[in-house]
Amino acid sequence: MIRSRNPRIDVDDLERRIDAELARDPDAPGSDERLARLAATVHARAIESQLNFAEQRSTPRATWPVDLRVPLISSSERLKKAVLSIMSLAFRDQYEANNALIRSQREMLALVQTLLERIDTLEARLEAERATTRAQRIAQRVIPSVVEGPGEG
Amino acid sequence: MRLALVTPWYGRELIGGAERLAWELAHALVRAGAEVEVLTTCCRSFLDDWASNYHRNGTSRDAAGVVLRRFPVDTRDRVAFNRANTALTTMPRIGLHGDRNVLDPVQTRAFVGENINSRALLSHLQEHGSSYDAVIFVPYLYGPTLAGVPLVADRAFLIPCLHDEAYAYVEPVRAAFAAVRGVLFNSAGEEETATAIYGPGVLAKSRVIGHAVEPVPPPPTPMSVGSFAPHRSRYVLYLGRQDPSKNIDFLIEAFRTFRERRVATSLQLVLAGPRSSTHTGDGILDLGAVSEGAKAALLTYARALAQPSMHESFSRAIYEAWYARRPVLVHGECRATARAVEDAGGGWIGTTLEDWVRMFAVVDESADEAVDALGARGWAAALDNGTWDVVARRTVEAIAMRLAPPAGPRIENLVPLGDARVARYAQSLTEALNASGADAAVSIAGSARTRPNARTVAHVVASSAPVPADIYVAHDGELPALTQGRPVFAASHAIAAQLEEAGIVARVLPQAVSPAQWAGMRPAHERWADGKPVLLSIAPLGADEARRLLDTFVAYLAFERDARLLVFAADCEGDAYETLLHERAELDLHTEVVVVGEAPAERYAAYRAATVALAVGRPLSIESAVTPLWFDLPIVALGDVTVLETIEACGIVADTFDARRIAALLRIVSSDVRLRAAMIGEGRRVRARYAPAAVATALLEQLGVVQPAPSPLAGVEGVR
Repeated sequence: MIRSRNPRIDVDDLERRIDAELARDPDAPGSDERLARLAATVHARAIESQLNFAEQRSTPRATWPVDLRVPLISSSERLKKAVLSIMSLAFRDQYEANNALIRSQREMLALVQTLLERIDTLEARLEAERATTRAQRIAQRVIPSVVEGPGEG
Repeated sequence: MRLALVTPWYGRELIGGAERLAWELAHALVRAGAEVEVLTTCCRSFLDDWASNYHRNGTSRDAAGVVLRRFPVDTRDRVAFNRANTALTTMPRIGLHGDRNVLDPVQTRAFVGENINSRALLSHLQEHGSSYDAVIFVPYLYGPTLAGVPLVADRAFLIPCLHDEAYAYVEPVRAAFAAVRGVLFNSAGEEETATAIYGPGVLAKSRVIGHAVEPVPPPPTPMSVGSFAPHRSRYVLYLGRQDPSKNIDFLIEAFRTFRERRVATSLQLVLAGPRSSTHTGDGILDLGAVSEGAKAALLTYARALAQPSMHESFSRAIYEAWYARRPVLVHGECRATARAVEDAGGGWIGTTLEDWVRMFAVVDESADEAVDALGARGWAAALDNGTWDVVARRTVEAIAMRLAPPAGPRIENLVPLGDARVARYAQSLTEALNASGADAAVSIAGSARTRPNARTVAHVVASSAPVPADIYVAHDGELPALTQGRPVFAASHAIAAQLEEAGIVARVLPQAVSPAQWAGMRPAHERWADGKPVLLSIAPLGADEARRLLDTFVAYLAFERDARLLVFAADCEGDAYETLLHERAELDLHTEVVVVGEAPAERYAAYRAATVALAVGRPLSIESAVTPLWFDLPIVALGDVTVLETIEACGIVADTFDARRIAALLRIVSSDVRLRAAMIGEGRRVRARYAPAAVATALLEQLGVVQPAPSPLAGVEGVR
């Protein structure tokens, strides 16, 4: 994934160190709440971007790729069209499977986002309840401003 | 050439580094044919009272022809000076970085005004300064230099003898570096120190002239030093003043730790030099001050020489060891010595105590051949360093080039109409040629404005109309027909490769990227220089790339919670700026993500504050890729054509975008001192290819105006 022509850099060692850094899981529980949320947002966006890319490529081709040169076929529009039709037919099941997978991934992503929102709501509710409880406790501990003395008998 | 050399103390008997340099250089300059006047004070030496006149004032000429003018010193307030000096000498190193001012105005005034000073010397400079072709100041931190430079700034040259110490950060010192016409350094490491403190603008007017060291001839027969027999011992030698400022305590502690871990070792540490207390014991032998003969014997038979000092602009001891073909151990935090060892490969570099313990172990365990091989590399570097006559020649050349570069030819850069990329390239080439003495200009190809008798350089693209020229510079992989038979340069390696496929051999003439634009600049503010890790985005950004950049930064925040991201507003193309602001708001990163304005001082502040430069946007221009290298920044980038030519040779290139992996990589680059040093070190080599002088010389050589420079080592036996 990375490279360098700097003779003083050991790229393989650097790759291992990157893996080690990532293995330490900076998103693990206990880390900063705000950062964890930011990281989740970035993960979600990365998945979304990959799904968009997959979706673009998951439909049958209607045009011949410009960089694909096959003798005889490339020079004939009719042959190109025929090959594309055959390919489309042959991989029809695969396209459907791909589309189903992409849809399910999108559902999964939506579910994850719903769960994240739900966690936020629950956290907020929990925090509110904690605050209420704390307020009640404080109220119970309040010393009356007027202390009555012993009654005269 | 009539030269004045201004230095606070002068005399053959003085042993300080700057004093010896002043004496040797003055005489070498006379031997080189210059008229030299030394302007100095009547004070005897650094160790004497700076307000006391020991020598008689007046003018004399020595047998070699050096004219010596001595001027009486002024009275001074020692208490005020000592107060300011103590503030500086006790300042923690952590407070010293970049553009930070270290003294308040009152103490600054005391430091300069109550320093060693001579009003008579300054009057002489004011009245007769213009009668000298150049005035050389040695070293940087005393009154005659700080007060004298402004009087003759247009012809002032500074040999600073600089190292990374608090004095270097005082405002009048900065002003002196900014004002002088040229700066002459003793070593490449000293130049790096100056760049780190004063910014890359210094490089536009600096030259490394070197510093000569005479070889110490080995003793004809083995000799003993007291009861110590060097030829029968295995030892690492420390040579020089045994003073805490030379980091001697660190050396002793490291050696003691080494001996504790290796009880059976026979390796000793021998200390030779004046000292206030002895350190003998635990395999350490303190010989105190030794004679020249004893020094020669100690150097000849040492296994290696240790130089632990962190405050050197040049180390004589290292070169003396290399002349004796012995390798050296140096401290990684001293740029001057570390750079010398790095370049020569003549020893080991260590920063921590553990590094030094390991280095002692390597010296102890290595085969004699391996140790000798390192010493031989050092020997080659010592030969390359040259004699005082070579240093004087470099000094005269550097001064002559800065004052009036030799008048070069009239050159016309012909550019096609309407191609901004080519026009920018031609403009930078024109500026580089003019800085080298040529009379260059840019004009549109085919226009009637071409000057008569001008040599022509045609910048062509495939669609260019045929235009006759002396030289062609190709800006894409195809050439118009008329270029056949004429010398052709390619504007980049990629274009050269394309031309080669078409059977055309073209040398690469890269776009010049000059550090001169940053000369004398101060940062707009120091808000970003607060010690937090700073990522600097250097690539142009579209909306998608802006999102990608923020994703990387967010992933980086997981590693470095206090990090900051700086993005140049000028790099935002299309709706990238709006996207950046919108995403910043959405991710609540208002304080962490900062858009940098277009004012040069603001951009300068960003480059100076940055920890790592990052390019995850659109393809880089040569200028965007090379400028961070002038600021000694390591670069992490996504691959593109420019990156392959520039950054891949020194930095790290990611083939695919993966925010978390790039963030992890940034984390490693920002925190690993060795990796950073490796990236910055190679970056200096890469940026040298784009230096205006290098680019101009390549073109002028092709035009036959200058001859290719011979290797400084040509003819030296055993050195290739």
